[in-house]
Amino acid sequence: MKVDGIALPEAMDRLRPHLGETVERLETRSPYAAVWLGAHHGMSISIDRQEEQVTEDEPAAGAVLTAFDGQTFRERSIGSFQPDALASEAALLAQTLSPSNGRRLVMSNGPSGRHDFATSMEIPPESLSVSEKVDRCRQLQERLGKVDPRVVNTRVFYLERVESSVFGDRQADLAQQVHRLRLGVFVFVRQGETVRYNWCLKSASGGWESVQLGDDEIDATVETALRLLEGGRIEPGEYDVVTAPGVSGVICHESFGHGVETDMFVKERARAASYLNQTVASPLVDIFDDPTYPGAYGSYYFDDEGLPAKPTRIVENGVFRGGITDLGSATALGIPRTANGRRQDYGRKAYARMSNTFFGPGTSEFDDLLGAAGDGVFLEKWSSGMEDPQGWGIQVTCHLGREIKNGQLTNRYFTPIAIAGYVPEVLQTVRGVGREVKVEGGSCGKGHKENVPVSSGGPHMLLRAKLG
Amino acid sequence: MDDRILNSLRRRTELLGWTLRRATQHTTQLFSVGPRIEAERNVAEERTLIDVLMPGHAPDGSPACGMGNATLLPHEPVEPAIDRAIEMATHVHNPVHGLPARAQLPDVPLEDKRLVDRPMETLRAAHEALMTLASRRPEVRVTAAEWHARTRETQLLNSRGQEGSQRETTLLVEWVLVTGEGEARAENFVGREVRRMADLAIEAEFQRQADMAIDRQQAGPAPNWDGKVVLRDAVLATFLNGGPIQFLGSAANRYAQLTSWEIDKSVLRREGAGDPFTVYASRILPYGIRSSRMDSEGIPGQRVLLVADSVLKAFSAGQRYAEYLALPATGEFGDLEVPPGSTASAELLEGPHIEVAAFSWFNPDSVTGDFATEIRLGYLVENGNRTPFRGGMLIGNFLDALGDARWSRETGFYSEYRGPTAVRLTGLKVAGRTAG
Repeated sequence: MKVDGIALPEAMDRLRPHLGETVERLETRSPYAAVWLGAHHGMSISIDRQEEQVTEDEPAAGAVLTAFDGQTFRERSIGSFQPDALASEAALLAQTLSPSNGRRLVMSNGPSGRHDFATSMEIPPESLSVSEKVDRCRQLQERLGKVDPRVVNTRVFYLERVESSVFGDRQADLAQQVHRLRLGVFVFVRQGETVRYNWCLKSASGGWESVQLGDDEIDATVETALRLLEGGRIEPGEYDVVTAPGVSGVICHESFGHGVETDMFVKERARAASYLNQTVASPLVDIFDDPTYPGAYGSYYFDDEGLPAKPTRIVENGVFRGGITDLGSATALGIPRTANGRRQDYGRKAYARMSNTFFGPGTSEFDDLLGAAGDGVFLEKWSSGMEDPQGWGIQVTCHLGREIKNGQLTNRYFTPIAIAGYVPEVLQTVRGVGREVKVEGGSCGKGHKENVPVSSGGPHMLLRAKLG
Repeated sequence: MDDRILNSLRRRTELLGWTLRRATQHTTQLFSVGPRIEAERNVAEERTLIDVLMPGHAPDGSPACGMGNATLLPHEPVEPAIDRAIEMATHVHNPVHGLPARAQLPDVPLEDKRLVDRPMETLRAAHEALMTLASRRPEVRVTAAEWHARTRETQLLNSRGQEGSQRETTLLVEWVLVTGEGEARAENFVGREVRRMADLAIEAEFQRQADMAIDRQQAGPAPNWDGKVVLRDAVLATFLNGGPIQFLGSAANRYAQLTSWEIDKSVLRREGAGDPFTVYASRILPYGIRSSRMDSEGIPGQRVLLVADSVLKAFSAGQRYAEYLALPATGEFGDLEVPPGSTASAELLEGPHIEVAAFSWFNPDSVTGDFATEIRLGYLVENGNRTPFRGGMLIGNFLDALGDARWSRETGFYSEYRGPTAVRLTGLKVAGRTAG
């Protein structure tokens, strides 16, 4: 939410008023210049039956100086907020640039002037002491301890990350502070030599109140872990599938998430580039990317290139409407920017990245989707996914699935299960979409690096897919 | 090492011990899109990492200890950082353990001098070489490339007198090779991490990857297959580094009862028909990507025999878990080394088989070893033909596959793995699908 001032890290706050001068100096030699300051710090707690750990996550704090001539970005980054260090870097950057002779690139960033934003919270994590957080995790761990003897270990983990960033260019002076939290439990069970596990996880941008786990969720996590001891592999083949919101989300993320990051268009990596305004999915399918999604783990107020956050409708009634952009790819392609230019940290370049990506809601009830599936598989929990934006192949791995027989869930479990297929073929098979959208948080890489916090989700969905 | 921090830590007599690491890092990055340089970046970083070990008591009154940490960024005050670390340490109560003692560190080659001295110049030259190679193969174009060269220097000192320093380089590259247009377009995404530019072997790597891009364009749908599967070179390195060996061979996971592996017992789920499996985790492999003179605790680099003839011989153990389980401290997990097999690779490639040339992401379940992973490019080899396919899932269990593996006599070095250049596995299935 928009606020009147935020508590930025002290050195960052001191440097903020000087960004305008730095930009001005750089723009004597570059048609466009900007400065981004980014810092994050956080902590994690892990408590299991054997040991406890409280760790300060390695922080990052640094500045990026950008000079852009419409073709090439020249950047220098430094792990410091010291004004003299920034000035030195600016001088070094200027040496690599030619005089701009008054040429200006005009960016349509949004409102000019100073604006501050911060996560809306009821219980800021800073209001709890480390000791209180550890105690709450211990209580959860004790709650997990009162279960079946086949449970060999249980682990509670809590992650807290506070991200602060400032963006300045010739017109904008924006600052934001986003709190991202995760709380989860892992349950490990063993019978003979067979070890299985299950987990339950809450992620949010918000306060402590946003990541609570209920008793029913904990009980279900343990019960499913135990049932997985009897679980087996699925016979490879094509099945009617009902996906849980998280599984819907990872399908969405890997298909029309990564596949519509427009830097991939510029690099000729995305097949979607030639499908603009064409049908790519069943008419029941809508896909959005929305960094303003309230409380979602991937939310923010402006992107790392200074554009205020707003939602993008990627697929509308099965028709591909447009991708998500960063400054570089939007400029190269001559298309409007979306607020998706994101950096892992000051050491990395900005790319077009997802925020909260999800299928839109439909009209069906979960039970109706099971009934329509008849015999099939309920894919309950995902574990990983990988993009293939040019080949449009899907690789989504689910931790577990459950048999559907005569429209009812049975207690026959499968683990793990992979979904494979060709993106448009799979999305064309969608024949039912649930009412309620849920998103789940996680970390997203581009290839195998550039991790940023995101969420993905959707409603329950009924589709047909190849499983193995 | 910063005397202010050292003196402050030495004054904190309540501590059981401490470790101090100062790391400086310079990264040079070059990005291209098509023929255009999209971005050039330089990044300078410096930080000091402080670990402290505090004595305490468990709720039952028994002696305990807790580890805490803090990171000190440039110009940050020292005392509050140490206070933070101590505060964290006081909140946890684990069985007592210590820190690594003073020990000699091995000399391990870890750096490419050109990447240290002239990183941007070296990256530009390499990029030019890549684009020149591409210009000679007009059927394949490099639509994007990223080059990240990093030099990292680390100094370490702990309260038991262990000290050392190391300088290392890493080069991370990503290339996008594209062939064809429109619906016939196919890409091959290449991601490699090496210590030296020479390890990339740009020309050979480009030609191999360009061939794969073309094969991917011509690939048909994956067959259904239940028979021999061959993995070679970098794909074999990826397979071995998929996670189960590292997870199941970890003393931390043994202590947490998450691995069923036990010393002097077979690591396989069942007796296989393959060669006995032996593997080392080495941090002294020259230019190995996980090699180091010392790990983050200060434990010297070493070559650890993890599994001999399919029997577990050691866990990979940091100081804490080594003490808890009365094992030798080996430090962080290293690069994998597998001894040469007894079969010529040509023989492994005889007869009908499938060769996986690229996975989408080989990501087995680290606890169980089960996997079902998409094949980005494979070949069906039978009747003298080598037919490319894409899609389909390779399905099996990592541990069962190791039990049925035949390893080649020839060996190679792949930055994260040194050992046989080829392995032939049985007991895996490929579930085919329609190609996109």
